[in-house]
Amino acid sequence: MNQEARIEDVLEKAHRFKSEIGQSVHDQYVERLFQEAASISKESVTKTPIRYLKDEKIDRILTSKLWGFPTMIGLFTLVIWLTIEGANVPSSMLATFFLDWLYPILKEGTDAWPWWLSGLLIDGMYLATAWVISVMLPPMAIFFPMFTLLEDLGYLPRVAFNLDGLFKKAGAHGKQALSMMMGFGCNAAGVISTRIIDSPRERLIAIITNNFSLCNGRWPTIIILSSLFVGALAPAWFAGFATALSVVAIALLGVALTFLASWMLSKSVLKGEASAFSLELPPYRPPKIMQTLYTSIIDRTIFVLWRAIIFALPAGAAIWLSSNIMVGDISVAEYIINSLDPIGWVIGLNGVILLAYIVAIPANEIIIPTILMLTVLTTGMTGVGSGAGVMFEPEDMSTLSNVLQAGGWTLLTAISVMLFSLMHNPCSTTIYTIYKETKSVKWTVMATLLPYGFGITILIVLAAVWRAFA
Amino acid sequence: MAPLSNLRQGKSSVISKIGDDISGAQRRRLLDLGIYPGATITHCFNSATGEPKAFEVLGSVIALRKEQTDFIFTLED
Amino acid sequence: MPSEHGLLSQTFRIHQLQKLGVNLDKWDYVVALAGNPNTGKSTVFNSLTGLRQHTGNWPGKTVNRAEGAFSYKDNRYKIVDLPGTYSLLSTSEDEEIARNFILFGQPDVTLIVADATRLERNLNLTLQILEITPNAVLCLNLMDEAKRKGIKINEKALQQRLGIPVITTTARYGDGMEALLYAIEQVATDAWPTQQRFKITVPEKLEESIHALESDLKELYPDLPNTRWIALRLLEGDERVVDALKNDEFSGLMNSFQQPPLDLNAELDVLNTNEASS
Repeated sequence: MNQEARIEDVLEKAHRFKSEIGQSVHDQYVERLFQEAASISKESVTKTPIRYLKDEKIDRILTSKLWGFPTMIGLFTLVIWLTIEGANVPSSMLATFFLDWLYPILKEGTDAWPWWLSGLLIDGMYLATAWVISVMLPPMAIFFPMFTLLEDLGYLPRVAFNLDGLFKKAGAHGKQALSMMMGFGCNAAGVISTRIIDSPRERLIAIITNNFSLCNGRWPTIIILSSLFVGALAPAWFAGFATALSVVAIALLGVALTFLASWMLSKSVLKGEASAFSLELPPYRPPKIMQTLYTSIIDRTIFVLWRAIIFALPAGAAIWLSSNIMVGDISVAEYIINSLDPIGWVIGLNGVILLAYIVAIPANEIIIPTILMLTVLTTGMTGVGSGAGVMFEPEDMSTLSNVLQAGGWTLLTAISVMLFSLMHNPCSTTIYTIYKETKSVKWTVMATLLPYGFGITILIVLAAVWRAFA
Repeated sequence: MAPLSNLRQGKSSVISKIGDDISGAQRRRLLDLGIYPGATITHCFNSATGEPKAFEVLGSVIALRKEQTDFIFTLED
Repeated sequence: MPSEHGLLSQTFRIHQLQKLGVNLDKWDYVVALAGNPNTGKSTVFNSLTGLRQHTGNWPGKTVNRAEGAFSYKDNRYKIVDLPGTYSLLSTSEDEEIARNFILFGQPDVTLIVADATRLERNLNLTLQILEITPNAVLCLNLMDEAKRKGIKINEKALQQRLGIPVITTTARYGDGMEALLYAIEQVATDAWPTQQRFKITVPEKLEESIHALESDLKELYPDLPNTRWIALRLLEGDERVVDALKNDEFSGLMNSFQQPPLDLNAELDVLNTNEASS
């Protein structure tokens, strides 16, 4: 008898035995395992606690009908507010160092170089990188450790527990709450964490919708625009909190879109019923503060920052070049901006913003600096920054506000940019990660384009309604 | 026998049967989590939306949806 | 991006332990690290290797194998951190990775990390592993929590019953790690008296069937370890094991263990065909 036939024989025998025993082989075996485990543990453990009463008391509050959702939103707002308030001072210190102090020194040192070389290297690449560091590092260094503390405490599974009812209605898996929350740090990390979902259908839903979790690269954009256009409307003492609230509103819209998109997917291309759900709610553990700081700063903050820098360098060069290479009387950048302007108008944006989003496909982090630089260029403003194609740090918020107003920005523009930031393609790293995880071009394209479906629709409606009433 | 979904909050009972409606990987998963006939199970608390519910079994708190607790049966007290 | 030498690297030092981070060029023994989720498994991994895998407090955090290395006394060890699982019997991706490695990777030592406060639950996985291999060490971790809760464990009795070294630890403070290393060495170098493989007694009818299948399997693959376990899987109708047998994967798996690629794609194809046919 050959190997193949013998294997067939074994399988057939197994099948026959199986039907003789009944379908409960696994049941019988596991029951025996647990009986054995119980008997061994009875012999060797002298005292078994009945229940984790302290944990349960906390859980009864954190998952209660009354406090469950307010606590979630409250903690979320608190984390954002602390990030906004805490990042202000170090951000401006870094900016002072990189831009007010180091930049002139570098410019002087390269005085003898050809103008285009120092322009490309210092005004383009250096400034782009400096901007990314001063804007991103402080909020990340505050946001990630706080998020990691909540994660280490064991709060995340409780959020998943509270949100499961909603995910079930959306035809998705309750553990999608966990990957969604990881996405608040980084969408690529969020996509990888969907591996905890067993069912391929539900895992795909979690992957495709992860981009609706506002990621670290997009927080700064939302925070800056919120403080300029929303915080500024509030009295000074309330400005920080008002800013935090509007940031949270955008993030919560992202959560709502996660549910909506999941529901639409599970009713159409990823049709199916929500599968079973069993999630362990682990005991609360006091986090090791120093270790949390270490892992969140080294493993997350530095990692994300490094990535941003790598993408900022070529982007800085591209911006400088496009602003300094002329086609006829105008620069390449101006040319593109002019042709994008009409499209931008329809969705409440403008050509500058659209071009900035094209330049920033590799990394969302550089949106705001790019917008500012391009605005200065096209409005021919003087006295801010140091010439065409220079990414600069506005000395204070009023300069920044002036630049944007000169660029024709209104509250509508700011809101539209924030919404567009939430609803456009994932960054290149996330797209690549989605491809690696799904091994499918179809689903990668779907995940890349789906956010635009929501984004464009919402922005067109918003712009039309706004203009009709304004 | 009563379904686990009927077990009142704070009460414990002994699992008597896992219904045939739960099968395949789902059944295995539950068994592996310690939800097997003979195990003592306690209904601890509920999610903010009422479902799922959290149960303690073998020292761990495990959240289960109604689709499962309807087909897990416990001894009547 | 775990860094090799942490700023705040674990402060405890053990004489003769050298944390080698990801330095994996050559090794004398392979240690598989298994355990339920949330037992401090990754903390044990980090303590031994000096690596800094982040350990979040939610189930299923580690979804991949992580590898690290350390040397103790004269030997170098490669340690493989398997995903935390409750069991090796279901068919989720993480359990698949864990069970394939223990079953076919043939580690010299399987280090099982258990939560001392929930021994009964953790013994489920422990016993399953012991049915596959007797070359194991049980690490009863989180002893500080157990003490706080007034739980006392007679590790001698446990050791007697299981036939493997049982070591109590509090990995986050480095307590018991030296004893753990010693136990790993004992099992790796065969200084620990090898016991008979642990066997769960099952109902008679089931036992007979297992036995019959086992002898067939041994004939097919004379070198295949753990035939009892595979026989049991066949009786359960475990599709992946059935497929593995059909495709004659067992001979391949024994020679060189490869981490199974994430098989989402294949399942997506199934999904797509279902979709097309519906």
